[in-house]
Amino acid sequence: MTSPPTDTDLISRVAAGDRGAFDEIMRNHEDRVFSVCLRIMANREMALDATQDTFLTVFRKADQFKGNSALGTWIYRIAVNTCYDHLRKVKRRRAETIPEAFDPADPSAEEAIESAGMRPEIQLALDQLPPDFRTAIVLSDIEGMGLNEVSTVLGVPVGTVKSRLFRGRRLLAQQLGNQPAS
Amino acid sequence: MHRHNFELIAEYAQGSLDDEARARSLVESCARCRTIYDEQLFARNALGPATTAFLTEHEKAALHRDLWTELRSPTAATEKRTWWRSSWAFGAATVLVIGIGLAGVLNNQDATTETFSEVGADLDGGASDGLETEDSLAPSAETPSTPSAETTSTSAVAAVADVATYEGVTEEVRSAEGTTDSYSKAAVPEEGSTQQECLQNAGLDNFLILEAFETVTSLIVAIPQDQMLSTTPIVFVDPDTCTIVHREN
Repeated sequence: MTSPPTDTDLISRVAAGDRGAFDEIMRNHEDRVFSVCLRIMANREMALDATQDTFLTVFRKADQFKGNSALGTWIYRIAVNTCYDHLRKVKRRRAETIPEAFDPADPSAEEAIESAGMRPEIQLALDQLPPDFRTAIVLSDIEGMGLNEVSTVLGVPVGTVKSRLFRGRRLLAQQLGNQPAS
Repeated sequence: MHRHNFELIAEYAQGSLDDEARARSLVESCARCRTIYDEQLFARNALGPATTAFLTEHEKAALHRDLWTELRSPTAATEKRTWWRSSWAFGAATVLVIGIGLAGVLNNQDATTETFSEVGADLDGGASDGLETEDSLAPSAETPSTPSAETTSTSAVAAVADVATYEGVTEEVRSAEGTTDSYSKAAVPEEGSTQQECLQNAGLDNFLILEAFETVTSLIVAIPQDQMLSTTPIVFVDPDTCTIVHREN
């Protein structure tokens, strides 16, 4: 019986131009990469573009993966940086909400809204957070990453992640109506 | 209260503490801590039902298709990622750099009553050189079999440079000289191979010809191979003497 290829095996094969290995990596990570991008960018079309660019980068820089972290962590770091690049380009202060980004006549819209997995008012509140806070919350509270992994993905110390989570959740709670008694 | 205590409370609300005793004590003993704890818990619970978003089957198929299309198309990939390939950026950079360089050249030369020609306009040899140069700047780009929009942009760049920069300088020279000479038609530059030899004679073996045109005198403009226009020096070579008359860093 053969064991499934490790991440290191797969990425090495990708670096050698193995299309099958790249497809496998995509299958393993595409939904989560897309989910992270969607939460950060709050726009499905932009998230799809960022997802595509993320995997383009993964393919082109496969030979630069050193195995110092999990392959997924490396990919999510690329994804977050790609999303930030896209956001900088667009310079939108407030992104569109997910349902409004779709043509209701589009037969796939209903499926897309369902696949977003978050109530629009929550997404809207999330969108209004500063990007650093939003990304920390997305990775930790939605994607379920531990503090150390979030720290690696964002390239900041764990203490910074804790601070961003704390402050981001406070803002989120206040935006959602849980105003603290003052 | 110290910031670390807030973060401790946040971790408590997250349920990620091994030892919760201190955090629990804080929350029970301090009203502000309780408020903060409630906020953290509220936010966590609001996000709690959210699940990982997923791609629809249609989106997955499109993603894979577009990705492989992009990976197979070096031209598209390169054009998407190299800002200087966009004609406006390339044109603006070229105008700026050549304009600055020519101003330097002109400052180094004795002004005569000769006038500038239509710089770089409609030059067969120059167009070929421009095409070759741009392709060399983008090694992965496909080489068009016929002069493309990018070739046109090179000529357009030179033409813009003519109007925007050299004409103004010329007017200054003309008014100073009190001449009313009209502009002369550009002489067609020498063939690319001859110009390349001239560059080699000037000690510029690894340089590519960016453009060749006449101002007060004929000039060859060249840049080092495989370098981006935004960062590379540009040299101006006298084709008659094959010497560098100006270098713009």
